[in-house]
Amino acid sequence: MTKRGWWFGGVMVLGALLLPFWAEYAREPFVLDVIIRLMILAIAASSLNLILGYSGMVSLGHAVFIGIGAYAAGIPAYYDLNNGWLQLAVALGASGLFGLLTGFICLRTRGAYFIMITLAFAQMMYFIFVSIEEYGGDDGLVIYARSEMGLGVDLNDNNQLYFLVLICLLAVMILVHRLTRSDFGQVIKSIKINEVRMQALGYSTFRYRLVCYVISAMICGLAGWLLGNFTGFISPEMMDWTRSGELIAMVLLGGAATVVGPLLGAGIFIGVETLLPEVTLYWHLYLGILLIIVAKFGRGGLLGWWTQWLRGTRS
Amino acid sequence: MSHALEAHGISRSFGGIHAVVDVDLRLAKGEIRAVIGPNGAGKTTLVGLLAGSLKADNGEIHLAQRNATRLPVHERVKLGLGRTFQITSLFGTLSVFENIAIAVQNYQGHSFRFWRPANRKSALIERVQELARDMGLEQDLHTPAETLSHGKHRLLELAMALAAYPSILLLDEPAAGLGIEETQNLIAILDRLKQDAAILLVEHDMDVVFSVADKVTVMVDGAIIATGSPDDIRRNQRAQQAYLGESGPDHA
Repeated sequence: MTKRGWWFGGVMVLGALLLPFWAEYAREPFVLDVIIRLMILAIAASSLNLILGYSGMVSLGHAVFIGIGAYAAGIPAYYDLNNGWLQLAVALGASGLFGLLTGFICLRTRGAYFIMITLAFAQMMYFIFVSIEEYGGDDGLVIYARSEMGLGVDLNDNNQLYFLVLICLLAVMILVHRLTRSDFGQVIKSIKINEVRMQALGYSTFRYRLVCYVISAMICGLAGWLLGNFTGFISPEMMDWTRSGELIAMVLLGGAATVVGPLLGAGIFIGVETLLPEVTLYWHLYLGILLIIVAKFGRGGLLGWWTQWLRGTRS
Repeated sequence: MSHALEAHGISRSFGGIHAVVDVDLRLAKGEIRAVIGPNGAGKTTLVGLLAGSLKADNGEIHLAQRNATRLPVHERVKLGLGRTFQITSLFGTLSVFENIAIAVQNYQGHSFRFWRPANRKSALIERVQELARDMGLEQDLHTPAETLSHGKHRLLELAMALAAYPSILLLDEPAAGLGIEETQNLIAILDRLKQDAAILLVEHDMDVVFSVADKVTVMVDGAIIATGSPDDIRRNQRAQQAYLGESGPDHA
């Protein structure tokens, strides 16, 4: 990362740290809600980026892990089990396990088949939760109390939830940064470029892809747990395939296979979703046009444009 | 005598086409076996069967005295197999260093290390530099592989195949497209390598074949029609007709 990049990152983190105080001062609590949602979606998009960007596997069912993570908060809360650490363990465990089991099958396919089979598993889960009447089925489930973390933390205070989400986002971004530059990262990036050669070099590529898939699933499960806590309402709709599509859009908009890209993409998505409806009812149309432009001209997403532009101005 | 590589009656068809028919092969350490034959004779299919990227319909393959018939590609690498590809198969956007490093990394241990930056271990760096030096690539370590010349692509292929100290090497036309000097360099490298490995060399360049091969096997229509010393093959009537006759060793 460039020196300018570190400065920019530092300023962003500082701004993020100060935001709740500004929101309180300016009496704009809604802004905090928007940013919390943005950061949660950025965590989910970062997890998708691990398999979509770095490993080159397009999953159209990634939102299923958001749903699993959210129900891992909601179902225990339904039985008055509000211990956050327990819920978090369930969220990570369940999403990791679902990732392991489905990945074992999905990762034997490639290209369009991979897209279809990830979609199929996600829709299966969707309809399973639709059919469980006990947890609200189609109508969803209200979480009356946010997770109890102990240690003097009270997540019912939106400011504290905000800082928890911020910490999680930073941790995930650092994890992705380190992971993709480690020995393991070299392997998954090389598999993306030339899997046949990696096998000929002695790599069991399936194992590496599976581990990557499970890590990605667990990070997305974390996002789901945070989202369930934040919205206080969970429903099967959270794991609908259109949600997965939105995650893909975020990754591609911001810049696939970069650490910051998914955050940027989530920012653009939330920005469009929040601001455009005030101007026009047909904001989806404009998001679509933006996506087409990025798909046509910006291979590296907006971050790619930005770095190319920087390079252009320097030389 | 124990053989590094043994194939017994291996066959493979694609639809109605019999690409490899009932092939027997035995290779010992210290031997370079050239496999020659006209285009479409099944040479590359044979390499694929031995490497495990293709499954044999019939027959058995033993590597380092272990039955490898049903082992996947990466398991065969563990038994000491290394290969290069007829069509250059590299990580184009990565540097020469990274290309060799990813090959060395697997040999030096598993890659389930998630936190520390890759390519910083001194043992790995030393080995990468050694391989690059052997192939004359030390000036190009930080060049993206895709921008190298064709000849250097072939040498990089070889450097990656050698990273794991293979005892069995399958080389699919390593000299294709090389200049005269590069070819001479390759011949010297092959001579050096055969001390530690059994080498199967698929090659169209007859200068290379007749200067390095200990034995030559001629394939036509998927089957072996002759095996012998380079001199035997030069004199062999059927081999001449099938292959050498079209473009003799002197003007290949």
